[in-house]
Amino acid sequence: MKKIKLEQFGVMSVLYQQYSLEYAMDSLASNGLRYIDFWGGATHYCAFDTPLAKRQKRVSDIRQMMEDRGLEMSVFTAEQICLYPINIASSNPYVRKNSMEIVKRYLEDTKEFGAGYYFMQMGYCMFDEDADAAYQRSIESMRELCEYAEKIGVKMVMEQLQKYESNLCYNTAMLKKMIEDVNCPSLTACIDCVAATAAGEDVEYFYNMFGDKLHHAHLADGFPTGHLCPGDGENPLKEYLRTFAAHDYQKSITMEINNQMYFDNPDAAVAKAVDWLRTVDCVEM
Amino acid sequence: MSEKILERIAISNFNYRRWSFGYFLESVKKLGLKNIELCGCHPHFTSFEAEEFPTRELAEQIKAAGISVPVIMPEQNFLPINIAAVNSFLREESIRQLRFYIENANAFDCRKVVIYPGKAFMDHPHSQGWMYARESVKQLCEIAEEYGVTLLMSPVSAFVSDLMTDCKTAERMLREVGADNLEVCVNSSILGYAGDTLETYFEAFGDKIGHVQLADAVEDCDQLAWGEGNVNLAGQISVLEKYHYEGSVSMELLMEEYAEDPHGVHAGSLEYMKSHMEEERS
Repeated sequence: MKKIKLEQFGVMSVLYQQYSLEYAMDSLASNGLRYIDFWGGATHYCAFDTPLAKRQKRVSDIRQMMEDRGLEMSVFTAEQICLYPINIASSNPYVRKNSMEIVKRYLEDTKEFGAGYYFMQMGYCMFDEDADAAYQRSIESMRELCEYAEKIGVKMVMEQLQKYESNLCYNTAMLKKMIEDVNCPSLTACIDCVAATAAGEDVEYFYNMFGDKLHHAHLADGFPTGHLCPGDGENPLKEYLRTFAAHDYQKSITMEINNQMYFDNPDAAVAKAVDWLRTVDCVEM
Repeated sequence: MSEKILERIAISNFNYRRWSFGYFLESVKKLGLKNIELCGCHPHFTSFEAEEFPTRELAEQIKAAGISVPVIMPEQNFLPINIAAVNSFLREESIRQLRFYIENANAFDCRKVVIYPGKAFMDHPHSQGWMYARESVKQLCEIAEEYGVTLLMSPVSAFVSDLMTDCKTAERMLREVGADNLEVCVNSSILGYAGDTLETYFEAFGDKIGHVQLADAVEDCDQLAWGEGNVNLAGQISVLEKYHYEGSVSMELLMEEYAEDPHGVHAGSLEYMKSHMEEERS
């Protein structure tokens, strides 16, 4: 039986938003994880909490903090369209221009962090705006960003969202078309196991859709939504991991535990998630 | 009496953030409402929208629709605003963001702006976050005074911040800041979790309650559409009547999912309340 290794797993640091970044990294390292999926939001690090002149120092400090603890960054997941005013498909030229500048800097940061991937988001348009025009803006923006990313040697992954988050990409077919339309080898797919479960899909379906263009995974439990700690919901996560193992999946998996019920004690949630991994027969600890 | 409160209910544009502001105003009119809680959220109304935000145009658009703005609610949980942050740059930026709403309030004939306590790091001493929050609130009160604006301190759910989750801590903040233009905003969805009731707030603050947000809720504190949780909303409205509350009241719904069809959600929520109030009276 092929296995997935513990060292392929990480946790998204959004879970620690009420704690310092030092605490978050200590917690991840002491729970035996190798990867931090780094959430780019205030007050850990983002475009809005660090002056431009101090950005490079902050980024290299974060890299040092990871090295001190033996952590590596699987993905740099900056907060973009869901909470923050970053929208590369915006019809407002001012917002779109600022968004592009911020994401370009985030791509540079991804390289400095030594992260495997930047988490690309396609933007959105208002439900009462022209969605075709927004789609074109989104593709143009992503092409420009991909060109820049390739130049500096950064890879990107992207996932489908919920419709209330982005009306430009809210199912697997739309994600596939979008990645094809951008047509850049550095931009590949991330499977969000919550979205997959909610849509009645599974990991095998994503393999059929994306094949070797599947480069990252978000794993979370739920009913089927809720982004709960593995083991706290009813999603068939063990089955998903067995599918990954059967395909000899070698890339990173982020446990995306992102529910406010864990925010007061994220360390306990991560300890529980790692304990849960021990119960999965296809995970090699 | 109860009709009076229902008549002046305001709704927020927060749930309409995936629709144009014009769509929001049309929806408010269709719902037969006259007041809005103007939410400072992207992409409707933040300093991130333009080099210089066209405040006058937005104010005129609202006025032309025959709608009033009794209160401005800058989004301070989702946006990168945190007046209690250890990071001094973020604190200063947060005050700058909030200043934007205070300075612009008069353009909407509005005198009230809601502020949050900010978020501290739970692995740092609680007193440190509290001190940063208090100093920021003092500074904001001074700015607000210049513009004749009253700030409304809003305790929040523990899921947002552990700095101020109940009536008692809000009292402490008002006492320590000691500014005449600092009052209170009550969000009903956090009452149960904190062990408070609306009465607790009215007894503690009396006419210093400047805004009331009513939401349905379940145990984990989400701000649900009316009728979706287990809060006795008709009972809460009767408390407002009992204390002869004359201030603004909003229907505060915050589930992310509502952004897809906010008009439908708000219409259903209002309808629920109307039929519920009728049942109460009969």
